[in-house]
Amino acid sequence: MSFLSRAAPVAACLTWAALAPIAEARPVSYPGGWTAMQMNNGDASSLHIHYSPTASDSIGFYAERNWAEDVQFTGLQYNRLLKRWNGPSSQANTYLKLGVGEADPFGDASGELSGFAAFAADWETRRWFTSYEARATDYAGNQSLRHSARVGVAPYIGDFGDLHTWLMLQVDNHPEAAEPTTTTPLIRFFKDVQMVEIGYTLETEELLANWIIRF
Amino acid sequence: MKLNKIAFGILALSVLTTPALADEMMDHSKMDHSAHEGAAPDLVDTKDVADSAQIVTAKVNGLVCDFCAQAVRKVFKKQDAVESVTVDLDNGQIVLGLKAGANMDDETIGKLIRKSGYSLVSIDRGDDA
Repeated sequence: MSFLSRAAPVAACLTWAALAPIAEARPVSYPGGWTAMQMNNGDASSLHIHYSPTASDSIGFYAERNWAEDVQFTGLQYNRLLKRWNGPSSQANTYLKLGVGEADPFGDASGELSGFAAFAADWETRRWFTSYEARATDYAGNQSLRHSARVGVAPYIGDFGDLHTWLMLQVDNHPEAAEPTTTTPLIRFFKDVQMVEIGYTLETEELLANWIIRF
Repeated sequence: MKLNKIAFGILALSVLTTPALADEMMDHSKMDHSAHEGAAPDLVDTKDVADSAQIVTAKVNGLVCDFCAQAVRKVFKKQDAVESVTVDLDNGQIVLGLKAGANMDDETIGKLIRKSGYSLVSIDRGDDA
């Protein structure tokens, strides 16, 4: 396979992502681990590539193309695992996410200092999953606050290396949006170090497609 | 616009499912594929632990998914004393196969498990009976 044919999908992906993000799963990896995650929904698409120097921190590049707010954000994101509770068959986490960078309103060449802050929490077993995230953004002076929550169930318990499947329901609240509250049934496929999610937002009839790879 | 967004989603999935790209990103050549080759379930690294000079089993809290298993595996595989790492999600434990002549004390094992992001409950070296 030629270099071009290999590079083309990467270039397309990066271009698209630069053109995104709400519920990022596990924003911190193992020490020395890299993670690439891409989130897409009706409002925005995002790309986040981060490195975890410890099991409690990660830092990396974050780009978001937000159609709902007509703005593109590019910057750095820092994620901090605030607290983890490890149980015999469960795990719960709270995270802080901070981003700083430049946001360019569509059609406007001048970027402005912008940023975001988010608090996220999750709890999961091998059967059940639930998460919540509150995210405040200031993109080029346009401030907004969003909430996102999920519940999920695994219809079967797979072994390591198997294809894991989760059925989830995501509820988003964005008071400034035309549809302030939306619900998105989605399916998550999880195998080894790769995760893919596909969903459909009922109120806005838009697709949700997310993926994560750890390496 | 809506169609564009759906097209973007399809593009993302196509990137993920492109074997050559996936191979390149995950550096498959460096991965241990033994877990997929007829091994017992739930095992991250199934290099035959019976060949190891010493087997250490650690009960660990917080192991609920493949990402967790990978984290533990990655951290322990970097240790010179470790020959194999097996993660048993069903029983919440990791089984370390140590190299001949090598040793790893309880304190080090606990430290590495915490470094991975998890909690050590107990260690069994199989010599308590």
